[in-house]
Amino acid sequence: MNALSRRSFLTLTGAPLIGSVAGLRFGTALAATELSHPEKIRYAKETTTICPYCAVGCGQIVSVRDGKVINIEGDSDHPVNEGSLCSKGISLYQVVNNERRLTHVLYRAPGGTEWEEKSWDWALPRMAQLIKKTRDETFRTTENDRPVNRTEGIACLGGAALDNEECYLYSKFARAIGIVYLEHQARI
Amino acid sequence: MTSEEMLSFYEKILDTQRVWADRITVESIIPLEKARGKLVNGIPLLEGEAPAIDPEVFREVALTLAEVYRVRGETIDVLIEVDDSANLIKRLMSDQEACLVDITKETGLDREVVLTFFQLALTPFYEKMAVPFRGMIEEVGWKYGFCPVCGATPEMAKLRDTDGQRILLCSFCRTEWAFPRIQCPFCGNTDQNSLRYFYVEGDDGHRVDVCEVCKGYVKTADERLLGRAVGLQEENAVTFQLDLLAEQEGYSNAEWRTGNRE
Repeated sequence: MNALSRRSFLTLTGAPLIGSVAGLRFGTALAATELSHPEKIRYAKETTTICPYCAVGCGQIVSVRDGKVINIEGDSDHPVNEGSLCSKGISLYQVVNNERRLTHVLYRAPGGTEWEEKSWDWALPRMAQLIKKTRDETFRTTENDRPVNRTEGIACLGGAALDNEECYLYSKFARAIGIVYLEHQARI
Repeated sequence: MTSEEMLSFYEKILDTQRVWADRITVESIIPLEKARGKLVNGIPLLEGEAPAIDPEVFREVALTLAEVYRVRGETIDVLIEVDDSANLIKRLMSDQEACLVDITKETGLDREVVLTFFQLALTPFYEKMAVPFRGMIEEVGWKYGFCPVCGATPEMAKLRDTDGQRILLCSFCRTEWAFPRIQCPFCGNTDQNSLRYFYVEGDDGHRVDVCEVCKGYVKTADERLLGRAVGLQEENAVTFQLDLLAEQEGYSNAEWRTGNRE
């Protein structure tokens, strides 16, 4: 710890005396019934993050209780935004907690008009098969006698709510299968 | 003693202190330029200075406070009569610990009671000394967990309405200063995995920020959740149950307060 990070008041000349509100209790303890029951105590923690949306890169504080996000707010100690957030940034909470957020796969068949609920076990292999099929059908190894190894049959668009690491993996995946139309909304 | 009695008592104490803080005059403790230099270098203004406290006024303040104690049925006058006022101040200022031990022995009162009473009587003087430097403290941007004026530890905090900034309240001279949200003011810990807070269900406007490294805690009132401005001294008083809960949960500031920990 930095030597300046803490100084005992006892080292001061004219040292203040530090009693406390508790010192006013005089040992006449409060009736036990007046104390909140420990079962009503809730613990939470705060962690810092960066808003995923735009290039300004505002700092945010995320509060988590029992593994669930309970609040997201601007970080007052962050030099970029000093606690403030735009209307989009302040609504980031709704990305996590939102009754309108889809929690299962919805599928609409080609030419179909109705959505049907599907399992991930059904959806993931099907997505992989269709990507593979399109990629193989449109893959070009050369153009004008130069090697290009790309597909122009698929475009890839990253979402702003993806974090750095997810975006990194996503772009690696896209480039690995030859996608060149690789875009992302965020500019951070 | 019920909570209500406790609060009404503390309210009277605060009122008394406020009246005195308005009334007393203190000499300037340090020239402004020197003060700025100290703050920039992370040194509390009072370090190495010798604040002059008028023994007669001190005695009057103590007597008025003792009157508040008396109304509640506690006789504390023995603490004022334990020594000549000038001498008493001198003893408190020079070898505080020895002085406390002696007075505790002489009066038979609990150490915490002795400590608290003298603190209450001295606070108006220090509060007054701190006033001229408030703007400078904000301007310089003091970023330490101890008071920029007297070096004492914080006793209460609030999250400011406008931007959520954490503001700490000095437990002694009542100076307020901004401090990072996710850092322990006592040991300086910034590890987000060992800092957390608790609150009592149904009252999320108040919380207790705790550090798992040093087991220190600071009570915090969130102006945004409470929907009103927070006066830190009053809030500190009305939330004393949180102090008791913090103790129950295994947290304490006693070591920091009494200087037994560095």
